[in-house]
Amino acid sequence: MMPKLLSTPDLERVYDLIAEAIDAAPDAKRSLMLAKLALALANLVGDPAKVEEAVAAATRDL
Amino acid sequence: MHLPETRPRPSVFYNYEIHPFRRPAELDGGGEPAPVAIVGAGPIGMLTAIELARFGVRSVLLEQELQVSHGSRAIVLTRRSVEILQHAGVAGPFLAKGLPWSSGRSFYRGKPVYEMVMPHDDDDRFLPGLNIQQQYIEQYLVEAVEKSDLIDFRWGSKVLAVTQDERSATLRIDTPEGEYDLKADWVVAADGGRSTIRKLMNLKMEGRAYVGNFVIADIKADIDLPTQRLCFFDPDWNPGNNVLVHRQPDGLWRIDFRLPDGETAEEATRPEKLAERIDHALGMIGQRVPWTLDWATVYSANTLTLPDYVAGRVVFTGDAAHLLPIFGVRGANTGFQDCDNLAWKLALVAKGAAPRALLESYSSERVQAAREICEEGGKSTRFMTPPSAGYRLMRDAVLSLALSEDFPKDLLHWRTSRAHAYARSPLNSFPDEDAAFSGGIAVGDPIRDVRLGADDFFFDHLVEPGFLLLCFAAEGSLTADLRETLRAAGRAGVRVARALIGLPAAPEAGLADIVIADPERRIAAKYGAPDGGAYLVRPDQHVCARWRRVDSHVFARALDRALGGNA
Repeated sequence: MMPKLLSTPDLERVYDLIAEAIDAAPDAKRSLMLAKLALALANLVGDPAKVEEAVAAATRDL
Repeated sequence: MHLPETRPRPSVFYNYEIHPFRRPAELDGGGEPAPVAIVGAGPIGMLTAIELARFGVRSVLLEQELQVSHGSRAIVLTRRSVEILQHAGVAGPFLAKGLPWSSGRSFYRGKPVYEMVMPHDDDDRFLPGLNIQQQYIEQYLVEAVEKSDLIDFRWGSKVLAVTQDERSATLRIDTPEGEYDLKADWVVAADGGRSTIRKLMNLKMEGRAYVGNFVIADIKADIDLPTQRLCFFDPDWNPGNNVLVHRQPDGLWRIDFRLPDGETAEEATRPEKLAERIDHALGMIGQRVPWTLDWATVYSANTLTLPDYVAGRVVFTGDAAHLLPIFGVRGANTGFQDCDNLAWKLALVAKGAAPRALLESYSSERVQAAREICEEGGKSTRFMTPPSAGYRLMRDAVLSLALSEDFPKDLLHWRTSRAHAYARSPLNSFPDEDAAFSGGIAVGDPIRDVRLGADDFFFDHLVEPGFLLLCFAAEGSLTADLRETLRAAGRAGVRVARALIGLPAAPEAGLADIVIADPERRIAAKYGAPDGGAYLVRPDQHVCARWRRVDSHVFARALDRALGGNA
């Protein structure tokens, strides 16, 4: 279970931010944009173990 | 010629009463101008009339139809709404009929993802939600209106035109026996989402409408589930969409579901289509029981408001002023707060006891509230009916993650209608005194209830209309300043109910209207008020000033400010 590090108002902000980034990207480039976003965020997290945890959460229940 | 429906509307649970048209004096050359004419006798129009009457202001209440609304429509009253009804002296029947609740559960693809209990303090008498159909809401308000000598309730009266000048407004009214003009000093437009008055005056709302239609279908069925908000995302029979289930009194249940994009209201409400989806919904919640349809309608979400609720002599309130999302139960609940804010101000202005600026504060305070709701409700709306591919993808990501992770769950919070803080209201004063408190109720916020006993709450004692001066004498004696303030409040030009908290009795006759011993000092603690402190509370129960030490001068200045003066 990942810890909750974003406050709820900040969670709401990033939710809208990412939703709008998805809408701004051309449909055909959506996956590319999201892959870039994942890599950029992984870099900001700075810890491969945490990235593994995030990958596990993301691939569950698809 | 206006010919309203004279047959009672069909319903499997509610017996509609027809209120016959009564020929008004105006049709025979008589009649007199009204201080206030209220257009629309829905819940908000009626509460406005009731509250004006409590302040001694006469009104003419105009309703197009001869019976209460079609369908159960607004079915959840928040705690704040019930408090407003209690303060107006009309809450009894609502509490007897309604179903109280405080929690909800959400599911994704059949699995639980979220559970929430709405905050409930032991000091609150009422639970966060009370489920009751709009027919009953209106019926109980009709009964209260009929008891008043100051409300001229005119059924079967439809407004055709409105004109105004600096002094008054004139409504052209159509009835089954012909047309007439009604002159009024003030007009309250409480005529709902498709407001005739708003259209006649060509006033535009700002904000946005959301694409995405929802069906609400009320069925009578013997369903064995508690009173709770139940929300199902992405059930297999309604992929990508959601279903809400709410219990109502009289064995009624509301099923509320989003339609596939592109499906029209007509298609969706075809009996076979509706029946099929209702059966699916019941299967989904594990309740395959027989059912009868009472009413169904289609709605979509909006976050729209007029930028100004006062247009000359016409004042807008409720859905006539704004169209807010159903998510978070914001329709009637926002409207009740609107008219609770409006009525006392309009009463004073109509009587010439306060300047027009007071009425303008209604607009600035409530437009601000509507904008906050558009912002908050907009978030819920974007979750419940994602307006684009990006929002839909994010919504699905949150739901899927919520099956195993806690961190995104707050995004499933349905953000219920709440009272608003009028923190920057021009009617507030003494900000430094407010800041000196640590705790208590901040200026701009509504006062909070306190439990005094098993069936005894602070608000039960606050039944008088008008301002409220809460004085704290917690040390067993009254300071001289407090005594002088209470005397000044008793002599004020407007009604100020004086409540003395912390003594078993007032030390001299006529010094206080309400005395509460508060031996456990629960009210003093909740209000953070020391001995000799006070709160000045508006007639809509919002705090407009507070002091750790009050005297008659600061009280007088605060009252003047709260009446729209510039003290």
